[in-house]
Amino acid sequence: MIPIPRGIASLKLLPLEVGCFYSLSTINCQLLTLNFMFTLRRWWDKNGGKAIGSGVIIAIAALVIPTQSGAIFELYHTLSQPFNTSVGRGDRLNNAQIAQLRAESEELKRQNQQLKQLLGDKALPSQGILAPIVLRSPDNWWQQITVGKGSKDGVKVNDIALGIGGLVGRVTQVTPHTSRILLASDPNSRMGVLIARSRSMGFVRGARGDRAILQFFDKLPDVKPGDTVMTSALSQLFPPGLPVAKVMEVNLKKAPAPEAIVEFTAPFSDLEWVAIHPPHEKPESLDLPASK
Amino acid sequence: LNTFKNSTTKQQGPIEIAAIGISAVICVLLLPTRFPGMEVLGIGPSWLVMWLVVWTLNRSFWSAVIAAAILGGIQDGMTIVDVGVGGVTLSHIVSLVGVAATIKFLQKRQFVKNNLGGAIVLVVTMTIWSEVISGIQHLLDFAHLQFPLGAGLDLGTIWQIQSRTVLIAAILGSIWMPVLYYPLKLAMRDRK
Repeated sequence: MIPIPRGIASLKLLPLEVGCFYSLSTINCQLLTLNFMFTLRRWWDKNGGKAIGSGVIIAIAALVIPTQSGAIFELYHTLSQPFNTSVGRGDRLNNAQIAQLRAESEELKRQNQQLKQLLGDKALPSQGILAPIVLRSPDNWWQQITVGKGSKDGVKVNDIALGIGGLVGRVTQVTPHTSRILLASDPNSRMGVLIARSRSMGFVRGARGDRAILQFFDKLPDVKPGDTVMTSALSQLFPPGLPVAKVMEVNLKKAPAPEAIVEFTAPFSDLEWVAIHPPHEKPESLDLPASK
Repeated sequence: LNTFKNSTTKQQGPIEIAAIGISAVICVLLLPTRFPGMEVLGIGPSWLVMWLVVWTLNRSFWSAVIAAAILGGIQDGMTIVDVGVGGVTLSHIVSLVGVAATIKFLQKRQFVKNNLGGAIVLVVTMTIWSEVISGIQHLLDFAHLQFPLGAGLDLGTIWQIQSRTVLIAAILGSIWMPVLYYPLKLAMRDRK
């Protein structure tokens, strides 16, 4: 429907009489109104959706701005919840430290009993070299860390690394200022261990995570969930009596040998410092700063 | 690495050659880092796969394969530890060359285009593909070095551990791809 040309046509047909000016101006006014409405209608058809959208957005903004964008921060908080891994990190480190101390005291009691029957402990305590962890594993298959102390600081290949919670790994490569440590959680890392409570022996093999597999040498080991796992005196690479892990699950019916799932007491991914000790030297203590 | 870059990119200016070389070095340096925003749950993107995707899209088959082998060798040097009997032998050369060859194959069949969208799709798929190749190597190792002698894990354990890792790496790779794609594309634009 096109009203404007028709209007103009009717305007031309009007006779010029008295009062024509009045009627003309009325028609003119009507025409202008029509014209305006027509333009408005056309604009609305074209941009109505956008206008409503912008209106809604402006209204939301008007509601949000006075609250100092509180809703946005709340939304961000809700959305970031699944990715927020740093929550409870301090707690984890603290728990690890408590678990480590408990394990150490358990071991010390036992050692004390044994030492009473002997003349003395021949192993020399060592302070160790405190080294910051600077780099992590360069791929997804190996579990390694690189620390910022190297051969110039006295680190040697096969030295052992300890962190908050217990044993971390073994030095496999040394450069003048860095050294690479193979974590205990790497499948290539295997260490001789025993259950602190019952002295059942076995070895722990990493499984690329917080958990690892302990395989026992005995057919019927005395083990239950919650037991502390320590390096054994039979280990060639690690000094005996270092806390390693805690038993989580026990599977005595496993085919070649009984198995247990253990969880490392040291939270490898949260550590920032390690202490490097020469192998076969009993470390004195594990007093490490929790963070930089 | 640098001599190789010089020999294959003669037609380009020194700035482009430097940009390509430096970008590759940066990617290698980024591998063991876990900067905030570049890692989720301690897992970072596969920087070398990302670099290789851009390189392969802009270069011939053999350039791509040679670059993949060199980068794989560097990564092997950064990771492999000789643990004696029973150690897993898992080379990144195989997975990266596999990635380069696959991209070239897909490009020849015109399944992928040399633009940012294509590169991002390739980064996601190729990160997964490279890890699958590594997994196959691992399983072959497991087959002939049984526990307790070998350090290999069976398929179930690998799937359990690696599936999450691979997905995170792939997603992070796709997120960081534009940062790498545009400068590298600019440096490589002249040759096909």
